[in-house]
Amino acid sequence: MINTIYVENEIKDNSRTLSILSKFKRSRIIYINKYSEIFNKKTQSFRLQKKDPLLILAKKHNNFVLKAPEGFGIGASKNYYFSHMYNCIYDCKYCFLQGLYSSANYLVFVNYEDFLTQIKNLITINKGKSITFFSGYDCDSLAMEKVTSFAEFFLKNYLENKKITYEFRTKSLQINPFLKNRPSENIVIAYSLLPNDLAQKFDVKAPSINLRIKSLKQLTLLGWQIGLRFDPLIYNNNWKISYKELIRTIFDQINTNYLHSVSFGSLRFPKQIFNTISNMYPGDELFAHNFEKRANVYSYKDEVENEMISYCKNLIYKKVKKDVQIFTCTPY
Amino acid sequence: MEKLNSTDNSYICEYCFIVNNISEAQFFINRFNLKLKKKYNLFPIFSNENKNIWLAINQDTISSTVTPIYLNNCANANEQTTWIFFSFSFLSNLNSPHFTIIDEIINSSTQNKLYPSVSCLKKFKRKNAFSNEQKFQNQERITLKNIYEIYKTLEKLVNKALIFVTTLSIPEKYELSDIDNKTIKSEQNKYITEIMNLSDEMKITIFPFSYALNFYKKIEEEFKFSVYEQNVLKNLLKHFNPNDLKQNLIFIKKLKNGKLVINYLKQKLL
Repeated sequence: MINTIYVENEIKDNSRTLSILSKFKRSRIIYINKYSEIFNKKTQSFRLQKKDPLLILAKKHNNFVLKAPEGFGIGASKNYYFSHMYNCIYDCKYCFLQGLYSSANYLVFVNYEDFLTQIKNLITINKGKSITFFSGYDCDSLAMEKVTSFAEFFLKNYLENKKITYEFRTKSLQINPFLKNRPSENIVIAYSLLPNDLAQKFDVKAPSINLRIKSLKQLTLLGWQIGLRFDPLIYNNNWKISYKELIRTIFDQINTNYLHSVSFGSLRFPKQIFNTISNMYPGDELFAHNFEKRANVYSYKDEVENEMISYCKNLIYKKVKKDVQIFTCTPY
Repeated sequence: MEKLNSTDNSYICEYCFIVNNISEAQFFINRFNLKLKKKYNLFPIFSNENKNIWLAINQDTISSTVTPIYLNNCANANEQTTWIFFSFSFLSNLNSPHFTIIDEIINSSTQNKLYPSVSCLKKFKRKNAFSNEQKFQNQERITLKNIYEIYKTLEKLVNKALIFVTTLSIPEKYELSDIDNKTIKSEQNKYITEIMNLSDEMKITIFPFSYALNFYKKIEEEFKFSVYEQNVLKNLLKHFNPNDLKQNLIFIKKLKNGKLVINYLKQKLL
């Protein structure tokens, strides 16, 4: 239950704002001028706010769609991401948002139309080029769907184009908008996955791996394209057994005809974010293994990373058709 | 809650209270046995014998922005100090005293606003408050004298989550002289204690490392360690989370010597 909602004055009469507010009849509403008055203050505690997050409804004025970081992509020549929301209802220990923002409050930008306008502009500018637009970079793209209805809006209004792929990256079970609509070749619903034992430790508050796989199965049964994202790959003493079991379970259940792509990325943090997050979890197993600093990024040693990626890739190759795309996210 | 790396002769400030007058201060003076510190002469500044609880009374003659800074300096406050502003407010639409946490401060003259943190304050009743240079009675809205300036200054000094702006709203028939009333005193005691306890819990989340190291002092009180062992112990403790340490502390205290403590902690980490 969100007990306090801050609303920017500029969008207080917006129909989407009113619709969201109608879902929180007992919450205290405070009107503000700019979301930054609440969200950007430096003397806040991310971990404390995570215990009791608030909702901020705001209007985004620019930078609706941004270039994705180098090494982040699933085969297109151009990669962009967009975030209708900052922060997430889950509390994954490795989540980089903990080090990125000083606030853990949920910030939702209600002017969804402006995101689509900029996406359409970028498609026009890059005419003829293959582009992937990622949703789920600064938030889980579906986790707050019951509140935001963003996916529902997107599916009604997005531009269909053979060269364009839209990826909704998630751990959420809120797949209703997809179940209600006809599948589209342009859209990939990609699930972040960890072996069960690691997910129980690190994917705090997120749906269990079995339930995520169940959602993947449901989506493929209806003909939606899915993505498997083994990102981050997390090391522990049993990682080989754990990942083998995870991959076996997934491929026992999903229809691989609808598997769009698989990607891998080992656990990695920019230096500043690593320092902030590791201080949040003194003594936690996640940071107990040796990290190495390369090009201002902390990650596992090269040989560990390579071994994990190639081991998992080989397992996947044994399970899927040759035309399934497999990618590695590289931070360097 | 102790300040880390503090030298033996320094004291640790855990709580700072700011009030607007002696009547508002009286509850705190009695409850925590605070004494006036005569060496600080800009404001009336009080502290208890352990110097972990401090109080300042705002003065009309000095800008309110000075109060938090002056108290911060006198009390040797740090990032882990809890700040509680307390004031009575008199409302015309009340039948009995009500304790409220302020989550929106509106400057009456400029209409500018400030938003105190509401993290973990679900169970408290919350309202907005207007900030005035003068205190008005018999209002339908909460008005707190100079709170805008005080909060604005504090917000820059410390973690927002550890600043609590509180008021006990009293029906207009009451006057300041009535605050000795039993009901009012018990309301004040109940809620101020709750906030102090809550802030202690919040600090475990905000400063997890500091809390782990805080156990160092507790262990060091019980055992003798060489300088080398002290460093080993500090580094070992950093690898535990505070809850694990809390559970282990009882067992640790039963051990015979410092070496066994270090070995025990090393084993726990394996």
